[in-house]
Amino acid sequence: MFKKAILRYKWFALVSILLTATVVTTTLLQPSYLKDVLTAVLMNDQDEIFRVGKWLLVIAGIGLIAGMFNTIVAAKIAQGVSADIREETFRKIQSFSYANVEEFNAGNLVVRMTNDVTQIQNLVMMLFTILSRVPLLFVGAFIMAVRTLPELWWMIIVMVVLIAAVMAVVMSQMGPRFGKFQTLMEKMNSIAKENLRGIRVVKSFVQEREQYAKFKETSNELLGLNLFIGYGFSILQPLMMFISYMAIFASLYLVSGMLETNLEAVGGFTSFMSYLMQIMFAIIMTSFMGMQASRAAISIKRITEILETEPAMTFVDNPDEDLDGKIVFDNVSFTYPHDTEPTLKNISFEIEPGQMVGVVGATGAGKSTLAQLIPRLFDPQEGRVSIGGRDLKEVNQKTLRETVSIVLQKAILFSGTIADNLRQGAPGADLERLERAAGIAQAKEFIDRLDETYQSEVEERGNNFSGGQKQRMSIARGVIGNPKVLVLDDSTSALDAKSEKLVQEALNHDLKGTTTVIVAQKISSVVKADKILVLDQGRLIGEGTHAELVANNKVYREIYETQKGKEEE
Amino acid sequence: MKTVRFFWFYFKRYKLSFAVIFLAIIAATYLQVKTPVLLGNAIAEMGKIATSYAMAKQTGVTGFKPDMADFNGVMLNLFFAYVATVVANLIYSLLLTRIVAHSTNRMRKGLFGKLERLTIAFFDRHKDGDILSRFTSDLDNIQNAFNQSMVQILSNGALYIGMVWMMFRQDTRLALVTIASTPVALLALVIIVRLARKYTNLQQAAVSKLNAYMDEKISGQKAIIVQGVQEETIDGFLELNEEVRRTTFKGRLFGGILFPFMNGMSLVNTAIVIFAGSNIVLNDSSLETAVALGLVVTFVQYSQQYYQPMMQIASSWAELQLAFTGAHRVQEMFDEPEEIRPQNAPHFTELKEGVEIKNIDFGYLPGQKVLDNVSISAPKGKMVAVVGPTGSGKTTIMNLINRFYDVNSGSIEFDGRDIRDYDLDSLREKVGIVLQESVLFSGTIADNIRFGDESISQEMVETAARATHIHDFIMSLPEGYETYVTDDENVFSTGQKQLISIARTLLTDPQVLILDEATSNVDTVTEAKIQNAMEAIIAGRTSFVIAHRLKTILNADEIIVLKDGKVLEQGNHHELLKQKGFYSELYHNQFVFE
Repeated sequence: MFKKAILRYKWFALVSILLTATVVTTTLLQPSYLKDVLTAVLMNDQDEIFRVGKWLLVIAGIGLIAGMFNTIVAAKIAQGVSADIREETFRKIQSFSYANVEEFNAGNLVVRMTNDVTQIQNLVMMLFTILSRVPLLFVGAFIMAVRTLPELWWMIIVMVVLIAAVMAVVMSQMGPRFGKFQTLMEKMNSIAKENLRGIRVVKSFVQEREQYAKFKETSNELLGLNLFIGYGFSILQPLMMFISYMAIFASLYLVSGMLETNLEAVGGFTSFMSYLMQIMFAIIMTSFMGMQASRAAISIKRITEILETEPAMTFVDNPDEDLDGKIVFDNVSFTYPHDTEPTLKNISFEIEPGQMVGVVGATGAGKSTLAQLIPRLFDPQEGRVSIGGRDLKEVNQKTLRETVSIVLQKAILFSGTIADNLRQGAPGADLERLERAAGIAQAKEFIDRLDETYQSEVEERGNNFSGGQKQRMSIARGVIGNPKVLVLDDSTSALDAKSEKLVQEALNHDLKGTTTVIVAQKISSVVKADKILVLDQGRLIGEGTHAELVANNKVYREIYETQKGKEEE
Repeated sequence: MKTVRFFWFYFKRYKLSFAVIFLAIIAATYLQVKTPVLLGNAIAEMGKIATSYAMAKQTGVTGFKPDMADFNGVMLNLFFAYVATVVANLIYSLLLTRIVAHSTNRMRKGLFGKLERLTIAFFDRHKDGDILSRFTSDLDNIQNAFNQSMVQILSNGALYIGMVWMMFRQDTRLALVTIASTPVALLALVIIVRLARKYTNLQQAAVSKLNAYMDEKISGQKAIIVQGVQEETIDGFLELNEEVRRTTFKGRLFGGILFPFMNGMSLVNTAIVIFAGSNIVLNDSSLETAVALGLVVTFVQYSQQYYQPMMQIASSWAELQLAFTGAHRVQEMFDEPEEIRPQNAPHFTELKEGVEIKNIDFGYLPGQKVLDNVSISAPKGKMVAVVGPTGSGKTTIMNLINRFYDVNSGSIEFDGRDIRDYDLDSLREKVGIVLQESVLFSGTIADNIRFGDESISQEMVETAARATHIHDFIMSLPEGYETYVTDDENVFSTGQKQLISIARTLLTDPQVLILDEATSNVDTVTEAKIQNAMEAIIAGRTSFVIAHRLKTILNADEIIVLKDGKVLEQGNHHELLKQKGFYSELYHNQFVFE
């Protein structure tokens, strides 16, 4: 994925490499020209100085310009690659089905889209500015150094080995400690977060001191780690300095011994020194970049995970259709992706267009699951679900969403105006339609009371509205598209009894032709339904009107009695 | 000023160490500036030796051995200088690491300690994310700044001054040549830094917007699937992503261009020095060739290093800014008022007569009246149910009884004594709360139920769990009571967390109980358990209950009907029905509150 993303910018990448090569070349050339100049000074050769000097200026100028242009190119690649990856990943997430969304939880996905993409961007920027320079610089400097003072070739190798060894030892010690550092930071943060969220509990139980002690322990552990890492790096830098200084010093001595036969060595020494420094720089840069790269590698993996996810469900590309609201479940069995036991077993029933049907049962009986199969949020492992006589697997997505509307248990609203949110169910709906839908959902009243009515802003996650108001808007969004089938998955639980009654009456009255399936905790919500389906541990064990079921169905009767007992009058 | 106070407090005990560090930095800087000179001298000596060899050859002398004394002397100096540089660096690095690590640790602990002493009002007024960032990014920035930027700026500042001084001491002309390009570079530097800041801010703003969009949409992805609005969602994304593309390019560009620019300037500068410098020294007849050579070498080194300090300071400056902002924000928290605790006040141990709320007024903000002249009487052992529309002030009363907030006027009394005159900890220990939102803390389930009271045995924990009907579920878990949970990751549903919460409070055997009945989206089985558990904990206790369940209200000894912060009606259920007022109407309409 990563390679593909960069390959899209291959021409830019090529230019960057060329520019970097140019910069490196100018950096490498300068010391060698320096050698010539110094030799010329020793020889008192003014013309030579002039000639070389001109070249020096030209080369330096080229290096400056090339370096700056490279930054432009690298920036272009970095933002391009990360924006492309971000787009691809977001599109992929939008192609997810319910099952995929439940597998990756939302918070996780968001972190990958933000943090991980940023890590990748950092990596790319680094790759094309610094990292591409390093190998060229290392090899080039090595070669030039040897050319300048061939007698000292072994000195270079000794220095390289020493520095590489030191870096390796230090990094290997630091590596695992960094991981531990992350873990401790997270632990510390979660203690702080808990105390923020639960401060009332902490104060009520007078646990301030105990929480402090808990925090202190972790903080002190962090201190120990900080000291270790800090001391490590504090020793590293001077050590590097020492090695390079000793290399210079030793070289000086050796050169002084060469002067009898090799006059040029004096001039050559300064260049040699410059090359040594460049080699050292290259090695140090490599190890730091290595750390950054390994962090980025993890990010790449996490993004790839998303991109390689198979959508759990695909829709066929058949032409649009006009379906009626007849629902048929034919021997349907369904197991959730990670469960071992099926949640629904051999369910068969038929619902005629326009009927209002209730679905009841104890917790875990499978009511919500059944509801979610109707708008094809999941596919059954066995059996068929059809609407309007058509197997749902044969219907294209547009037709499906226009025909079946589901109002989820938890109302999810988005930032924007109320109208924007409602229009998600019917794009371009006019005010009249908005008002009608709101009226059915018993939301019109409170929306009219707002200063800007339908243009009122909904804050993030609908935080500026109460649970009941959010649910009502959710219901309005569900009915606005005049669906043939409306599924209410326990979506009136936040409403009081009176409002719930009114909603149902409105549904009955205004959406007469709509097949309504209501999943309910309380039987009182669906007493008046045309038909009630009773689920028990995944099986359909009762079907009929309320009166029929009370008379004939033991399970139903038990549930009814228990619930009636709770509501004393 | 806040910033200064902050740093002074934490660093003043290290005065001696800082002095040592300061000296070490000065020493290291001096040496860093001196070594090019020494190196130049060494080269000069070598040049002399080389020349003497050449002359010997010319004049046909064989077996010539030059006098190495001067050279050896310089080499010795150089060696010591190198060693001294390394030692000085080592000293200040180690010391600084120690100081910064210990100080940051104290800052962190101090901040948390302060957090625990702050008022509830502070927590309500601030977003969690905002407070948390003071622990994370602000302290991080401070630590980074001191470990890196501070030193960089100090040492590079000293280095620059030292370098320039040394250059002029060596040779005025060459020094001038070396610094000639400074105005241009400085100007460019200032422009680049400004532009970098401008575009990085724009970049961050665009990224924030995009992240918020993605966060909201992905969190609500189920609704997007259900509504079938994936295309529109992608369109919205593309627009914001485009903006991020544009601003990131400029942000990265100006942020990244400093390094190559400075490098380039170094190259150019070195070229100038080599070119012009060589000319100057050669044409100076007063200089021996070898010395001239040495000078050129010295100044080449200087020119290579000349722009480094400037660059380091520029890139460290931004970090330092962040640290200052961070220090300010952290100090802000330290300046916040703490909870008012009466000194040497009597401990509250047992409620003997009852709770009296007398004519209290209260508002969260000045001038606001959320509660207006409210009076409630709760004799010992009685249950008072508080009902009313959303926003009528019910939760606020709960906030006042255990002094999460204090009343503006009037008083709340336990056994005739104002609660502000009791020792706060003992008061809170004896007032139990069960809130609407239950919070778990990281630890085992057993830890959560006993919540900090080590004297509570496992048996007692299980008894409480049984009383709240959560014991069976806990035992069904593989590790039972030893299962590790956190608030974010746990096996409990909302309703079950509520049961744990009740068990927790039950164990403290509170004298006064405050209970908020509101629950959201609980299945009927758990709902029944919660109702039972609440009945169990209320029984016989002096309680204030924000009631939502009919049964609770019917059982209450006294019902307080609140509306707009005022007590509208009070009495028991039958009395209120007889009044045929607000309560009566609510009751007959099955409590439509919204």
